[in-house]
Amino acid sequence: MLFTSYSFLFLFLPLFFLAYCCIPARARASWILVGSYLFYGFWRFDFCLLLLAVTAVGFFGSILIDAKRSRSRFAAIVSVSLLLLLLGWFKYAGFIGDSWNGIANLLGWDSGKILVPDVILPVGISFFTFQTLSYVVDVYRGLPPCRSFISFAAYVSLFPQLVAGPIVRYTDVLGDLEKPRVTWKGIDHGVVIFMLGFCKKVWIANNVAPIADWMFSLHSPPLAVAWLGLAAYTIQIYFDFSGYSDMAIGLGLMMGFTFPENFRAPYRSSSITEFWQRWHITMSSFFRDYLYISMGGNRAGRMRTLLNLMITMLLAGLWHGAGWTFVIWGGFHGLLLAVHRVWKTRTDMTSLGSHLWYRGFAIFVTLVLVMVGWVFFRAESLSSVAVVFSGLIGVSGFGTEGLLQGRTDLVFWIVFGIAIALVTFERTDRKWFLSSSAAKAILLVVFVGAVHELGGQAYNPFLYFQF
Amino acid sequence: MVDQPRMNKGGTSVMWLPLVFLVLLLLVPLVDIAAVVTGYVPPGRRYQDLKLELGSSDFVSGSFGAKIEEYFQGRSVLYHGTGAFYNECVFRLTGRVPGMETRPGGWLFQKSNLTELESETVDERVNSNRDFVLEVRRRCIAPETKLLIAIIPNRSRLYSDLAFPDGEPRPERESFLPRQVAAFSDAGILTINLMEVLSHEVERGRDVFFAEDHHWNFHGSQVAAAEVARWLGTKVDTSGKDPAREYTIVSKLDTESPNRSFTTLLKFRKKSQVESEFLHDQEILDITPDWKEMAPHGAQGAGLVLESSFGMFGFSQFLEESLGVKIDSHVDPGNGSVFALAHYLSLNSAYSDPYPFLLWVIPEYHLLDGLVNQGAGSKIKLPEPFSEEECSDMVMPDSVKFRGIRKVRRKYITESSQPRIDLSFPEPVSGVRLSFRCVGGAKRGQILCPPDSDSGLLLFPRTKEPIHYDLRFTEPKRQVEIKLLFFSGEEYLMRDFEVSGILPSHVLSE
Repeated sequence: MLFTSYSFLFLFLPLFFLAYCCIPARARASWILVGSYLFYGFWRFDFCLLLLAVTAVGFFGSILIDAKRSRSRFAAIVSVSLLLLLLGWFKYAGFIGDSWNGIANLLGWDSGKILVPDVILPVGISFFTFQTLSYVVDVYRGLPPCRSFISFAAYVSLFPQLVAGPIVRYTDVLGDLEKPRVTWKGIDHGVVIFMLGFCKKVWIANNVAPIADWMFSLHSPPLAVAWLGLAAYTIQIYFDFSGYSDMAIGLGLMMGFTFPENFRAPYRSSSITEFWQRWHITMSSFFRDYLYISMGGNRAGRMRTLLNLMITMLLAGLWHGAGWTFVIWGGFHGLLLAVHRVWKTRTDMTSLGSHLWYRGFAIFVTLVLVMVGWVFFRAESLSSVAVVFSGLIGVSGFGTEGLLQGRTDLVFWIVFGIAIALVTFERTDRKWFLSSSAAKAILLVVFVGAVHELGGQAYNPFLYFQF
Repeated sequence: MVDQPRMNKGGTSVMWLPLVFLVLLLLVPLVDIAAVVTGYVPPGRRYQDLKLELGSSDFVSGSFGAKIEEYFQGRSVLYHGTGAFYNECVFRLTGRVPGMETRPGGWLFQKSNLTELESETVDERVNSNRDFVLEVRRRCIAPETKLLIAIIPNRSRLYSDLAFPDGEPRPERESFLPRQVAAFSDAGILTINLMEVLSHEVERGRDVFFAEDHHWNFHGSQVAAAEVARWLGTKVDTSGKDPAREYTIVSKLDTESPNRSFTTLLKFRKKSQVESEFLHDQEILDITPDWKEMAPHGAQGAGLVLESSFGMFGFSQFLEESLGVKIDSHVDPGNGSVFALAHYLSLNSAYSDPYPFLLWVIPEYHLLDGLVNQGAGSKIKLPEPFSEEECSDMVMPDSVKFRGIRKVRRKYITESSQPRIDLSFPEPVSGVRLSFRCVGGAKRGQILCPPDSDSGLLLFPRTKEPIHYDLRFTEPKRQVEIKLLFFSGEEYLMRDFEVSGILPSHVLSE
């Protein structure tokens, strides 16, 4: 179910939430569980079994881990392996098979080719598998396991963040799960944040998306079109994903949960390291805590640190999608992080960083590099990457040559301008909206407008559903 | 109900927002339920009888949620009609409609239709349209078929006094239609300009277009059909063909479009009231559903009419009545007239069992946009099916990889608006044939072919008939990447998808 769909907004949400408020706090976890499975089953009911399987592995695995006083390493390995196996089969089996056949093809080894399984990628599998994985590892590291299957299943399937994050760790909701506490303040703030996210998605991401989609479908985009399309995608992915995260955080607050923030004005980062501290924070902190640090982090020498960075980012790329473009995207960011790390150790940042011109320049360079990375992220194949890059450097001509005629209108340019202004001046604490009644009233009007706008828009799902 | 009081420290309530939010969310379904129960439905939707048909397979095929969503959205007066309601309110209060120029008598014109054109654009459009139609005739029409073009003038041209009350000259816009007709005629293309006969009716004081919709009304459609029939009578021998069919007689009002599609202005009335308001002294022929379907297995009527959404107002029925013989028709509403043509040309019967005449009815604004520009992403090229000889020796691919399309038994369902098909053949092929039946979903789709394919962009309107799309490449190759693009709707359903390649020995030199 999409947050921006009729079924969610006008059927599921009001009915679920009214009942949620009316029932006793101790029964809310069960109600969350029912609602979340309905929410997920709206896509495909049979895949609720997968969700249940992941939950069972996490729950019983953690009980087994905790059964021994010294924590069972074997149970942890088995649980983590099972979870990775499920993720690997559903997400990476096709990719591995294709890559193997590609190599066999290259070597002319026809008998070595294998039958590639046609596996359906379940919505949000990366998110709920990683959440469960983090829980299992946390229990292995000493966290007391959850003893209630209902509560744990409600945590894994918690619908606001089930399919596109933010990745919520068990410790984030530990206190709230048994008896979620609904308060007027929580509902008020939650509604505000939900509406903000909704408006981001509908007004901005959906309005710039056609230009990005169109540019990436061209066979030879001219330079101006290529950069405009890439800028549109840069805006789209941020407002799409942060919009979803805001909606999830808002819904969480309404239900009595405090989810971690996922974005903090990432396009204002002055280095690639800072970018990853501001972009998809829950994912990057997951990789930092459960992979990078587990591999030794920065405690095992300079070369090992750089290698750890590279491996972490390659796997982060692969987490986003089973394709070489995502791996390259991860590798590209890993390389940038490594270069930045080396450069930082050799440059006197204290004097340089104090200059305003330097910060402006650094933000610009970081943004351009991030945009270049988005080409790998968005393109459907390596050949498409080549096409877009040739457009970006002007191989296919410079001007728009009438290509933009009829594709951009005043609404697009206004939305584009507002998006750039928001990216530049966005306040991450949402203080103004949360404290002022006037701001809330304005937001309500914009939200109603967004609902109206949505009625006229083509169906447009969230980008991060595929991950 | 809630675990904390709703007053803040100062004692004043700042928690009004959650209540308003929830009331808003509840209002929409409640109003929708009331609208359905009492029969209040938007008039533009009265021909769409939505039904929620859920089967057990929907729970595991992924179509359960989509069907629920489609049903409730489609039935929703408030959700789908909030924009229209807003427009209606603004129109009632201010006499203006967002994005429109309003004129006396409730006449509305799109702003883009009133601006002057650039000379170069007009020249380019006139020539490219002529070349496109010549290409249609040269490549795709059987020798015994006469290709006729009928051009529907823009509403702003017919009602220029209303559209341009300031009287300022717009020479390029005004010269476009005569120049296009002249260019067609000079190239030997049989062209019927409907301007004269329609403007004659306007001068007589009889409206031929709707006031708030860019389509002609039933009267305009009837007048145009009579003119085309008169013209056809001298050009095409239709003797010996089946007589015209009989149709239900209903009546419609001249000025108020049943669609109101121009502005999405909407009125919330009972269905019966809406029907009664269309009563008028003029009798016209009803549009029967099967009339819109193209004859699938070869020619049956005396000719075929290919139409855009203008065909929803009875043109073909009037033409049939005027000629007195059976006419086949293909109406492709909302997709542009090129789509109807492309669909027809992708059928083998277009070549094996041709019609005596093919009448292509093109609105002027499609010509102004350029016939080749009605696609998205790249220019339209016409389908050119493989010959029987080419098809005699086809190879199957080693692997067919769908990206953004999932397979459920024999059904292929798109999961993205831009899915991709990667093909790998055991030996280089010089062309690929895609065969499938389109059984529902997105309004239209396009195949964005690789740059080295000469077939360019093809179109597949929704149809239950099996269709083939044949793509030729300039160089034989083993790996083929085909991108698809779908409009207005994420999900597109295909059945019986098959793909095969032709060997280089059958390459046709251009």
